[in-house]
Amino acid sequence: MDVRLLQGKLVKNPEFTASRAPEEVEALLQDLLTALLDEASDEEG
Amino acid sequence: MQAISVQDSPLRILLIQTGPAMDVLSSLLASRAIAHHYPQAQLTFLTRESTASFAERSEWIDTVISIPRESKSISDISKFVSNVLESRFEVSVNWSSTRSSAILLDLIPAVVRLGRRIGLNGEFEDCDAWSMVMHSLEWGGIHQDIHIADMQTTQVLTALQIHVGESQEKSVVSRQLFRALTPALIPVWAQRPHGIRWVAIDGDDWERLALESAQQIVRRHGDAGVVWVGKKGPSVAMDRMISLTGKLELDQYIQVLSHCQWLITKDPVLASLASLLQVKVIMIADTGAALSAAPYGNGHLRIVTSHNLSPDFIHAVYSYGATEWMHNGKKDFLKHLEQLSVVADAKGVEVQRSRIRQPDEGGGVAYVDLLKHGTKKSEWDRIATARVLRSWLCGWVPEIDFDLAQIQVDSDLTVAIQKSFESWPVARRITLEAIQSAIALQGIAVERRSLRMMGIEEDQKIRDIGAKIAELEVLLTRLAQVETSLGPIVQMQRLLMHNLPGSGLSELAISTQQVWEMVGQALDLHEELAHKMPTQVRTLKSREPRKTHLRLVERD
Repeated sequence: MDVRLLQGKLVKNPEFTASRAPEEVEALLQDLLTALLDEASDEEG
Repeated sequence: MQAISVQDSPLRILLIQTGPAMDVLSSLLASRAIAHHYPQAQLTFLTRESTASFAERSEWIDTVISIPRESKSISDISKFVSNVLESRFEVSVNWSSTRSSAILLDLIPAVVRLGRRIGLNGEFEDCDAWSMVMHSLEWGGIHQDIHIADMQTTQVLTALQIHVGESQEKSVVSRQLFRALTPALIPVWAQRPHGIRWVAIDGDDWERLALESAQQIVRRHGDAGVVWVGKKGPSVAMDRMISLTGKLELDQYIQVLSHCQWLITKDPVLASLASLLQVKVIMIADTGAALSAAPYGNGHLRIVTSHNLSPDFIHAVYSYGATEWMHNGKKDFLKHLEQLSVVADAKGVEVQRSRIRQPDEGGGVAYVDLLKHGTKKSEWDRIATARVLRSWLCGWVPEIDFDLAQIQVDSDLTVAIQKSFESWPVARRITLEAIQSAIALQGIAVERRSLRMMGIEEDQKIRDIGAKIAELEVLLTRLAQVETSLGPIVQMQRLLMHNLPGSGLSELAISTQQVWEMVGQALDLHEELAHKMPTQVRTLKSREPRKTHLRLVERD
């Protein structure tokens, strides 16, 4: 599954998608994935 | 304002807490209060896999979502996010400070959001004022005496009152607060002598003193036994003493602590776990330790000191707590120390007892000084700041007598407060100037709307006023460097200005005025507390405080 597939799920959240452009949504998802990975490695550290 | 209809649908609440174990336990306390007040709510707790076990053992949590520890790839995490996005909530709240939690708050569908989110500019943004306060506490600088679990509870209950309606408050959450998921038989514990009071001691970081204190307790109380928990402990063979150090998993901790009457520890995580299990705690903390790390509930004892403690003194604190069923908290603690000849050991030590306050007293947990030292100025500031926060965020403050009862006035406090109030007229003048500047800005905004265009002169006026407000902020900040009482007010003022609601000039000007009015209100509350204090302080000030901050500040 990649970011684009996840984006499809956000249709269920109209309040969210209405306030952001599609490229912003994609950037935010990428940001989330990076943050989760970073925080997971911090936790292990 | 968005009303949530829960007539035909469940009230689904998402609680996000991805912080360390201590934060998770505090949040579970808050979630328990939410479950108590809104029994119809279905609570989902989103946390890290490493802390999910706490939530899974909490009977009032319906669903636990954990962020998988093993997620190493984008694909793993995408799967997790994809599953989470299937859910929908009426209310979601993020109680943690991580970037991922803030993004998740945004991403997961919910009608009402509270806590920290990611704003459109990609920076952290607080959805509500309680969230601002909680995160500013992490940065330090705001000392106050509201427990973090109480803040989280108030934050969500206030939102539920607004969006859902009054609480039903008829349910009783199970008395078995925490449950062990798996039978956790520990042979040596199962064979312990029964019919005695067990005191769990976690001696990590204070092994020698812990051992000597434990020996005192066992020798002087024939009905008491000590069980060692924690990572390491003494290997001492003694009747009514059992060592389980380094051997316990979470379920086993739950099992052992559930059978103990007391826990003595320096570890805030263990203290919080015990308080969730309704085990009384004696917590040893360093001076200046935040109340948020203190155990929650009635009857816990907190020893706060930067000095060395004696085993006699720790025993004295234990014996005071252990006999509370007889004296019901009415026995004078100092007399108790006198009877045990350990008054001298109390030098430089504070001993506090927790109690849950009634709603009209401000609610939540409060720690009351048992040794009745003269209240320090920093403690006075904490009490005053808590009044300000309640006033700002809850819209009311408890009766002043309840807060006054916590204050022991002596000459040091009197002098410190008197000195403090020397800065007050300057703070008030700054505040009034700022309010007037914001009002002037509103005037320009109205004018501009009617003319539908802005001239160079108006543009310059707006710049000048903006610069003046910024300058006043700097002045107040400098003043706070001299007068510590102003510190929390200034920090909150800056936070509020940073999160200023509104888009156009007019809205921003109105919000600026409101923020500065809050500063004025804070100054009023501090002054009211000082004026209502008994004896010395009152005599220092000749005039009564005026009713509102606007009248208090007068232009020259």
